Amino acid sequence: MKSIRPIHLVLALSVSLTLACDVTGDPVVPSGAKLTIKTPTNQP
Amino acid sequence: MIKDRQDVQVAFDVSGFMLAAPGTCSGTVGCGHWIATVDGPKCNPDKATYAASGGVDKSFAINFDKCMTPFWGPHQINVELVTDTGMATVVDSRQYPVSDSVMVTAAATYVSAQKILSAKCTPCHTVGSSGGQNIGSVYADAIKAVSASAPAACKDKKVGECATIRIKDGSMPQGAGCTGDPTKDATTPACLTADEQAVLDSWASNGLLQN
Repeated sequence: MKSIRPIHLVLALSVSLTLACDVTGDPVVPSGAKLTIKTPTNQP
Repeated sequence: MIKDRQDVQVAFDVSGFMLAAPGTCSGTVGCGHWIATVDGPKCNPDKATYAASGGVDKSFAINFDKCMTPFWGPHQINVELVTDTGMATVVDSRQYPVSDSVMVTAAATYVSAQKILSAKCTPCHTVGSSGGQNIGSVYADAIKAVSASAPAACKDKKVGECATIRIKDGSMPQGAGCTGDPTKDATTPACLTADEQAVLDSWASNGLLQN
C-alpha cells in the first residue's frame, strides 16, 4: 500500500487553490457567463 | 446611429453570472459586477466614468462630451464582467473576457444644424432667399441642388453640403471677414467656431438628415 507523502498533499492543495481563486483572491467564475449589449438608443 | 447631441442609453443582458454591487459578493462564486468603457481609455481614463455600481441594473447612460475623441463620429461601447474586487476580468471557458462591444455613430441632423445656420446665416439665408435658398429656416432648401451660380467647389452638391464647403473656405458667411479657420476667426463672432463646423460636417457627411 502506497503512503501519501507530504509533497503530494502540497501539490493537491496548490492545485485546488489555483482552481478556486484567481490572483486577486476573487473566486473564479465558472464558464457559461455571457453578456450581450442591446442596441444603444437615444435617451427619450 | 445616435442622432444629435443627446445622451445615449445602453442596455445589456447577462446570463450565467450573478451581478452585485462591487465588494458585496461575500465570496460567492460566479458573482461580480460590470464595467463599461467608451472608446477604450479615451472617454474614461480612470475606468470609472461609466462603471455602474453593479447590482441588477443592466443599463447606463453615455455622454460623449466626456470623451477625448470627437463627439461626432464613431464610438465604441464595451461592457465587460469583472470579479467582485474589480481587479480581474471574468473569462469564459476559452479564457476570453466575458464582454460585448458595439459601434455607434453620433450624427448631427438639421435639428442641430439649423440652430447654427439660423444664427450665422441670417438674414440672407433665413428670410432673404439669397442664392434662391433659406437654408437657415427651411429644411427643403438644404437638400435641394445648388443653383447654377454656385462656385465650382459646390458642383453637383446639395445646398447643405455646399454650405459646409463655403464656410470652411471662408466665403461664408459672406462679407463677415472669416477665413474658415476657427482659430484665426476666434475674435470674429460672425464666423463659425470649431464645434459649429464639426456639427455641420457631421450633418453633411451623414446625408443631411432632417431629424
